[in-house]
Parts: sequence; structure tokens; C-alpha cells
Amino acid sequence: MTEDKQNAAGDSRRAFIKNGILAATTLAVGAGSTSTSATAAPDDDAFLHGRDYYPDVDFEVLTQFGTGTRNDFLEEYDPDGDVFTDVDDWEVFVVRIEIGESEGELGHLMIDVDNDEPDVDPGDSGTMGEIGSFRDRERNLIETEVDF
Amino acid sequence: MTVDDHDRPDESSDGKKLEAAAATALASGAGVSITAGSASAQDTQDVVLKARDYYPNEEFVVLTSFEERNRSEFLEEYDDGEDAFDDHDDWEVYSILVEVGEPAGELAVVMIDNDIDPDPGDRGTMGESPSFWDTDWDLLEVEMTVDDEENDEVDDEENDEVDDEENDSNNNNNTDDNDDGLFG
Repeated sequence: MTEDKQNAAGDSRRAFIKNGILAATTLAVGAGSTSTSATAAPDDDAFLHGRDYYPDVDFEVLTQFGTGTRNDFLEEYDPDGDVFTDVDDWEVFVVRIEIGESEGELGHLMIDVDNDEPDVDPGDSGTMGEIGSFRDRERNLIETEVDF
Repeated sequence: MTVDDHDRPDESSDGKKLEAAAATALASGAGVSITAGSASAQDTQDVVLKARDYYPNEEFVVLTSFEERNRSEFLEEYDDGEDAFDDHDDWEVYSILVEVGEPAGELAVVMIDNDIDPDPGDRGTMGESPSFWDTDWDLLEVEMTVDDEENDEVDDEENDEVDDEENDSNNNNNTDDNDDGLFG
């Protein structure tokens, strides 16, 4: 069904436009608004697929991939290491995004931990950042901050 | 089909699309679920996934098979009352990359009730006749055909390490075998 491909591409574009507007709005409000998220480790970059990124929406951590599961995931997803250069620097989480009324949607969250093990357990809640920027346009990967 | 999110207008068109697809499948009859039983390295299996992650007839590549701790943790957190999945021990969980909207693709999670055990790098195709697994959870059940890159005997006997190496050499040695993945 080619119709689906077109729709999916459209979704990405719309998501991008939405993000663009959002970023512009935040910029207009001023830099002072970014200093509030003191609870999260501010250096942790969180990557989400564009389809899984919902600004300011809560999520629940379902599981954090073990080493083997993580390595397989990142090596298959990014075989040339274009984005995830050193897989050991990354932790991958499967999360339930708290949207809709059907027990949420499932998503993947990649966090650059730089070898520091994040203090996150299954069942913990987090919030996606209000600002997202493209980390890799070709893969539709969005970079944002998350608060746990 | 409940349209589950009014904040995302895109979702509603997905819902309509899905209904249309289901209706079409119904009209053409139950006979459509013909499996290629002769091909030994091809498995067809019903899988469960979120309606949002379902793309009729799209190909996907298996990224990872959840190791035991991840498998049980995921099912426990996602479905702590065993409402959607009766016996968690019966299920394996996988992350896949659906090759839609290329080159980006879409990441998705699928739950498979035993039987087939695809490896990272295996490719498959989503079926076109979904039915609801659980309407409250927006979970669909649909047939998937997985092309196992290994022959089945080796796959059962050897560990993943060996399989991966074989798979790599397959990829390198044969550029037109359609197993090189999205970015290959």
C-alpha cells in the first residue's frame, strides 16, 4: 500500500513542522525558561524517533535493555555507527508514552549515558522535553531532554 | 476502533485506514491467509502489536530479541494485571524497524507467542488481514512472514554469536540476496 508510505512521510514532515513552531515559540519566550529542569541530569541527551516524540508528555519506563539486547538493537538500527558511534555509551529503554486511552503507545528511548549508569528503574516516570531538535534527519531522530 | 488521541490528528486517519483494510480483508474472504509452507526458511506466525505500529504489507527488519530479564520486565510493567497477555511466559518480545517512510523507518515493538524465534537482522513482512487482539489496548493480531537467514537446523543448535557471524558473511558475500537491511 503506497498510500501508507506517503502518509508516514507526511507524518514526519508534520512532526518536524510542529517541532519547528514549538522551538520558535520557546525561543520567543526567552532563554530564562530553560533553567527550571534542575532535577534531571542535564547532560543526558535523549534521542527518540520523531514518531515517538511528544513534547512535554509523560512516559513510563518499562525496561532498560541489557547489554546483549542493546548491542543487537543499536548495531542493527545503525550498522555503520553513524549516530550511535560507541554502543557502550548508550542505554536503550522501552517506554510507554502516556497518550491516548489505550494504555499508551510503545516507544524507544536512547540515552547517551557516557558510561554513567542512569538511576532509572522499571516503572519510573519521566517527561519528554518541550524542545526537540533533529539529531539525524535521515533517521528522523529527535534529540531532547528528559526529566525522570 | 477507538480514535485514541485527539491531540494527534494523524492518528484518526490511521484508524480509518485500518478499518478500510480490515473491511477489505473481510470482503475477500478468509482464504487470503495462504502461507508459503514449502519454503523451509520462511515462517508465518501471528504476532501482536499496537495499532499505531501496524503497516499492512510493509517489510521490517528484526533489531533485537528481548533477553529474558527485558522480556519479563517489559510484560510485567506493560501489562501488570495480565489483562492483555494471559500467560507472560508464553511470549517473546522484539524490537523491529518497519521500512516505511524510508530511509528513516519506524521503530516498533512486537509480541510473538512462541513458535518462531527470529534473530537480529532477519527480515519479514506484515500481513494484510489484522484482527483485534484487545480493543481496549488498541492491540492488533496479524500474520507476519519471517525470512530466516539461517537454515533452521543450524539456527536451533548454534548460539547467537555464531548465527551473527554467518549472517554477516552471507551479507558480504552476496549483494543481491536482499538481506542487507535498510542501510546496507
